[in-house]
Amino acid sequence: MSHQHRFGIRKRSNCLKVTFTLLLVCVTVFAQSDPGIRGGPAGAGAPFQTGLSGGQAAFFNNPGATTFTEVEVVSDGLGPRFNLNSCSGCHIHPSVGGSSPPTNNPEVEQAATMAPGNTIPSFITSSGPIREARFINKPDGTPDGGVHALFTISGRSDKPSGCSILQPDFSNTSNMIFRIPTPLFGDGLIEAISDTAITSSLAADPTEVKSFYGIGGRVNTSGNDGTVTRFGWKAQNKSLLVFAEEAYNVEMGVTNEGFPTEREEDPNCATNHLPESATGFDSGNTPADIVAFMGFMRFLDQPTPSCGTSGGPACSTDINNGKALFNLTGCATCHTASLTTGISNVVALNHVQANLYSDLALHHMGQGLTDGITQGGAGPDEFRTAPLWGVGQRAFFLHDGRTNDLLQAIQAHSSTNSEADNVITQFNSLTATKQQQILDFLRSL
Amino acid sequence: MRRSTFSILFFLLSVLPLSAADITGAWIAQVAGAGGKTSNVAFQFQYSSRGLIGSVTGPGGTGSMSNIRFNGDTVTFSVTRGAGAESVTYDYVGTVSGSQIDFKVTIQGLNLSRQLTATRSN
Repeated sequence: MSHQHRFGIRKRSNCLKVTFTLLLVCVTVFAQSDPGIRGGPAGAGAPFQTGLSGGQAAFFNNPGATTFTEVEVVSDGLGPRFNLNSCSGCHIHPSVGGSSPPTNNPEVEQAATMAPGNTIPSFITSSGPIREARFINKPDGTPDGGVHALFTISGRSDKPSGCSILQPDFSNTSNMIFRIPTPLFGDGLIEAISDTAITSSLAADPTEVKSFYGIGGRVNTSGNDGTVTRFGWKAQNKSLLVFAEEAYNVEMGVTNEGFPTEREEDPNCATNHLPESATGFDSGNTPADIVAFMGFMRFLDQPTPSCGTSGGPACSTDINNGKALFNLTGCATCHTASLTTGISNVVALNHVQANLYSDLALHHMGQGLTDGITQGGAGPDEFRTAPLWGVGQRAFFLHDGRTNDLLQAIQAHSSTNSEADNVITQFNSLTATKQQQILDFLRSL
Repeated sequence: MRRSTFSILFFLLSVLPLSAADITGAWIAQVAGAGGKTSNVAFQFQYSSRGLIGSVTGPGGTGSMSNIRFNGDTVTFSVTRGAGAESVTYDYVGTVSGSQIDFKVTIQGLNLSRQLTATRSN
């Protein structure tokens, strides 16, 4: 091979290397990415600073926060089956009242002490989200949909003697869907929004963006009185009290005045008198735990964004542009920036703007997100628009916490029969810079 | 005589593309609206002393067309919905064909478009 030829090959090879490096640098510099969990103060977890009476503020702390953070044992009613042993075990990040922490999943960290002898299912990992599991079908093929708690009290030292129930068989993950805890910040405001405000907002289209993107949506309603339900991933719960009652029973196995029967009635394990937590009629009429939880959640203030609030720093141009693009690309058609509460006997909740970034309505999210579960009027692929307040500090996204990457969560909104398809097409057509501005805006919330 | 006939013919030919299609009057299109409902979008075109003007009436109310141009069978205009920082401007490009206008609508500055077919309503 001649010197010239060798030189030519080397030159071409160097040229290719330089081109490849430049390309890589360009991609690295211009590719949009989730900035990750925002640092700084939590900006959430405190009660309303104004508008609570002395009694309400005191109730938030005790019995509210004290009961919410209390670790339950079998004599309190824990089990026979449970997912975790405290409300704040699940609702913990970025502060009490939130959702999954980014690492050190309590379902893993605490398993040895709260559920000795139990096996941690494969879908629960230390760096993954806190999850509950629902089975899609029963063994006979009929629809299930119910929560199957991860752990039992069988290995605990405080279990009733003879209690030896086994964990469910979690090996068939194709028959399972998962749910992660919903953050609770500002839920008192959500509860105080009138049905009319929700339905009017859903029907309104002043900028015709909903029509442009073909966004529909409907509210979930209570089978009892027909009013709008709004809590939970499918907006299946009417009120914070119902939410607390259900979670206490389903997640911790504690029976209460709302859900007074055990989900696991094995006579060797379910030995406590029912309901296990109740109003203290003969002990000073102390409120039941569910009322304490309700008070804690109701008086928990909405999250504070990193900028743009009164008294806070101004938002950067990038974040402001991101907010404008969030509207134009149609994200805000469902993730409605704010709704206003109606009349409330709590001043902090009375005619207040809730900056929730949700319309509280159900939307078809398509084959990619469907979980096959029906709750109330919500069908298998319908989900409540997840409120985005506090999303800047959220670690996991979507109902099952399948990703910790906000960009992936956005992309997951697009699939066959998803109402968000056109919106995501629009998002994808934006330049990387503009997509980044939307991500930066979201992480400022 | 022959020259003036040619002049008239030339004039008519040069004007013809501008008036080949008649756009004046009312047009209506059906679109999928909020909440899964179908809603109507009405277009009104007319000539005034300022030239062609028009308005669009949809779920967001009535808005005037701006930057309206009609050349041959192609009409373009913009309509702004909402007010202030929340407002959204739509760019319309329509092709008039008999009693039908096929519109391509985009949000100003963005890429996704949607098709809309309006038919004469008067």
